[in-house]
Amino acid sequence: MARLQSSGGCEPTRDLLFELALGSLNGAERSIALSHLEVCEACRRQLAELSGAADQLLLGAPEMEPPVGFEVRLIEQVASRSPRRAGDRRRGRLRKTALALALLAGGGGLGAGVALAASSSQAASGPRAVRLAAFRVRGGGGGVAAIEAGRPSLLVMRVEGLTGSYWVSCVLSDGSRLATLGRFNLSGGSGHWSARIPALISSSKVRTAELLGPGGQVLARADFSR
Amino acid sequence: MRNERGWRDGRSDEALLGAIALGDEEAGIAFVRRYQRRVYGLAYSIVGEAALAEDVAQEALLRAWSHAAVYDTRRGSVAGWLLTITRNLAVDTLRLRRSLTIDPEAMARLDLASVESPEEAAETDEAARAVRSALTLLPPEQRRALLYAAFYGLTAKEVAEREAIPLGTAKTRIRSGLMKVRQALSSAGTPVGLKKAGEE
Repeated sequence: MARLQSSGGCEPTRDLLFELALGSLNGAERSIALSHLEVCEACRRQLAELSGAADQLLLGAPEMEPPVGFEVRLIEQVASRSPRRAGDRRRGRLRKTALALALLAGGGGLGAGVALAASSSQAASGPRAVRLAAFRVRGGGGGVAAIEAGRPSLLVMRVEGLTGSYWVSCVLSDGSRLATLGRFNLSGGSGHWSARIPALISSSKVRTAELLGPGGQVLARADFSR
Repeated sequence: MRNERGWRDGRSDEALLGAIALGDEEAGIAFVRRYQRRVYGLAYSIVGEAALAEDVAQEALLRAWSHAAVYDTRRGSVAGWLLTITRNLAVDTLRLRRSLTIDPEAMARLDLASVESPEEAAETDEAARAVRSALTLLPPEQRRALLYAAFYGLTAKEVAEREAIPLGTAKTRIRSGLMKVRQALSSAGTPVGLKKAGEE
């Protein structure tokens, strides 16, 4: 260590600190800089200051809206990557359910629709599977839909970027359509909504949920079969 | 339908990470909502492709989520930590493709981020505004060299080749650019990181 300081001191390393702070120093020069930093408090202090500025530079990048469904895909990955012990499949499914519901609720506590789902969940006799599908409305807006299987089964939707009155219907795997599951009004641009799926219909048979405009035109489809 | 436009989680970044480390998944979702636009924006600025940017952004947020317990507050802001993870992943992704192709449009967006409109400025947090303002103080060629190094991980040698300038000039531009930004941020008293509890 003393050898490094005596053979050139801080001067050769000072130039390298800038690139090191920016994360763009490679190879032999990086090795030289790191060796010197081990023994030099002053250079470590300077590196810390430069690194702070370099980190802050990244804050200057423009923000961008991620694609529709980004959160859903992320949550699915969180659920699938969580450590699993033998026989822990049920816990994993419940965790995915909880994550999905938190996502649909906006992550800030359960709203009225989802509170219904939570209370039903306690009454259900087994783990409840959740299927998720993202949807996009032509011309702007979109969201996420989830079907939570159970007694009763629920369709929950989170919608963003829309204002007005909407109807929701479902298409089943045999091609038949449930005329209307429910209707909601959206005035603030985003929110969530839920409805029970009639007990006579197995939730596993629901292929798509459709968002309909006031004239009955299909604005978006959330496809659960993908 | 519940209006969620005004919904915010008032916890600080550090508190959210602490809660995530304890298994609080709502904190995880709040964290994702707070940072996804910034993480995706940075990833897209570097890789210049929507699908690739989404992969990078997802991986960065997943890593932050799974490493929340080891985040050390002494090593800088949560924002800096998360965006550095994002940048490294994006640069690694480009290098793995064996071509560090820099999308000229992405570079222009980064450059232009320092001269945003008043409307955009109103929606931007204080730290980002300070960085963009500091970047406007640099001569264009110095700013470009700094952006290449900071965002794309280009070495001084690579910057020199790309700009067709001597290596020494590239090093000087990077070094002077970073020094000026550091001084500008320091004299502006810029807080490191994003909004904290009560500031949203």
